Amino acid sequence: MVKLLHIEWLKVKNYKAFWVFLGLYVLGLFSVNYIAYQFQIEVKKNVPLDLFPYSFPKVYQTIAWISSLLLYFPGMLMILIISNEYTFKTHRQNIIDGSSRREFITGKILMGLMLSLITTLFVTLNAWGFGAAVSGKFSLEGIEFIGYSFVQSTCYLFFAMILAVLLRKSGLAITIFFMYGLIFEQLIGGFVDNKILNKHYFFYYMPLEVTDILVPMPFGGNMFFKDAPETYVLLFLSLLYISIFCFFAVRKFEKEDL
Amino acid sequence: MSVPVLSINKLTKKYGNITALDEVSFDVPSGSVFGLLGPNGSGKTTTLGIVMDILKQTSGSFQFSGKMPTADTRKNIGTLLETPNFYHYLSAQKNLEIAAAIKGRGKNDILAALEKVNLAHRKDSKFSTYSLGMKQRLAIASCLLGNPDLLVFDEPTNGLDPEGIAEIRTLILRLAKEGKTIIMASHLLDEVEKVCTHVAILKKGKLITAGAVDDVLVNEDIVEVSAYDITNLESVLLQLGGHFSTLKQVGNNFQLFFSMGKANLAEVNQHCFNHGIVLNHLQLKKKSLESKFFELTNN
Repeated sequence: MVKLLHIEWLKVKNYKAFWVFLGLYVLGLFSVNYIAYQFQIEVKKNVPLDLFPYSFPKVYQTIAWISSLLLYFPGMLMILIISNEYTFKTHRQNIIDGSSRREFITGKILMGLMLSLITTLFVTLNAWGFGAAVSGKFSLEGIEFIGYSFVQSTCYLFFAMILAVLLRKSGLAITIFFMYGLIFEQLIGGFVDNKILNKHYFFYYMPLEVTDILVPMPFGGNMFFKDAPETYVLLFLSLLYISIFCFFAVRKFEKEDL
Repeated sequence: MSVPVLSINKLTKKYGNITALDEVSFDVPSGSVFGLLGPNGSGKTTTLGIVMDILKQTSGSFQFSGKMPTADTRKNIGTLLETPNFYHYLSAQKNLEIAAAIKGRGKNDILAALEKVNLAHRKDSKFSTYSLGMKQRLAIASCLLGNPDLLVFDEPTNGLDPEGIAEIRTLILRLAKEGKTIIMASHLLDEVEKVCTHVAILKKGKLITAGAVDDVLVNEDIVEVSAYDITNLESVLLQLGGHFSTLKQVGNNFQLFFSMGKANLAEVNQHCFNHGIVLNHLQLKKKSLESKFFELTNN
């Protein structure tokens, strides 16, 4: 495990584009929360409405939800580091040099986990920073949303991974990643629920949506998702999807010509 | 006989209806420089790709030194397959550090490997700034990491200028002298002729022949003679005895086929003169490996 991470580390350590992208993402995480925070202040001036509560304990959920809007960016990074290997044919070279196929893809899975941990770390730091600044105190109440946020980002990243492994080309994988996440999941889910089942059911169980409901918007979440499954069901399904993405990525990489 | 370094047994690879490799079997003896020869698309790279686990065979098997292959086996083989594959955004040094890490080795011999291919002075330049020849040499440097006993080179002189080609040839011969086994795929016969001890010839995925170079690519010396008295020339030549294998008339010339190095022009001249024939044409022609190769692959 450590050896695999070390090899992945050597690959990204001097990769400027990777660090610039990651830096912008981390900056973006703070910025998007700061904008929401300012927006909340403006709203409060006019109406007593807590759209984006940045005080403990609600701050965890607010920041987890706001931050989830940016999950496409670490997803793109994930696609980039995998499709790079295909572009440079270094996925072949790594195997030729003595990695097993499983070791190689496990390295990528570990990278996905690392990116997810980095995301979660900065979500947490933002939550503590904003929470402490606004509340003038510190609290761990509601921190379960950080855990949900971790599950959510892992699911997004591994979805990005399976797209990269299946499609090999970064442009195509990134396009499909965005198109599916932003449009087609809603479209397919909405179509099945509204036209076939006539109730909100199927949509909630789709791979990205299931983690989205895990971290619902801090305002009106109960209204929008009033018939959503229980949290433990959502958690279980999220982990199931994560496992499925990993399983097929490993399988594809182990069985086929590289 | 010692266990072959690599033993390939009925290896077959199909892409849908196309059979890229058709029950190919051969052994690579220890310490040999083994040339895998064939025209483009004959299955050379496919064979090596399967052996390196980047392609999956449809059927058949292969063993390294009598053992089933594992990832660890590959750690002790230096392989250049098809093209130099490196991270474009990293320097030569950093790229080799990754290869060394995968092979489970330290960074100690990276500089030595770069020096062997004359790249040490550019070790900190990004791979993307390298010329084709430099990329190829970096790939060869990567093969030399950890001083493996088996080296696999797929078209090692691809993209090199004549000087670079000569350098690589010298390097291969030096490595062979050190007792290393080298498998080299090439469509350049000249290259194989100059360095290989053994050869396997592939055509359209089928193995045509395999064995020691001297057996497979028997080279012959051809002595071409002519005289005004062409009718008597033939009978006189036939009296030359069992030195040559065949006598062939080509136009106004006769061709005598000798095994390599056995033709003695002075002796032929003397013999004819002694029998009253004055030659007006006497020439030694080397039968090229190329024509031999075409002969083998065109049947």
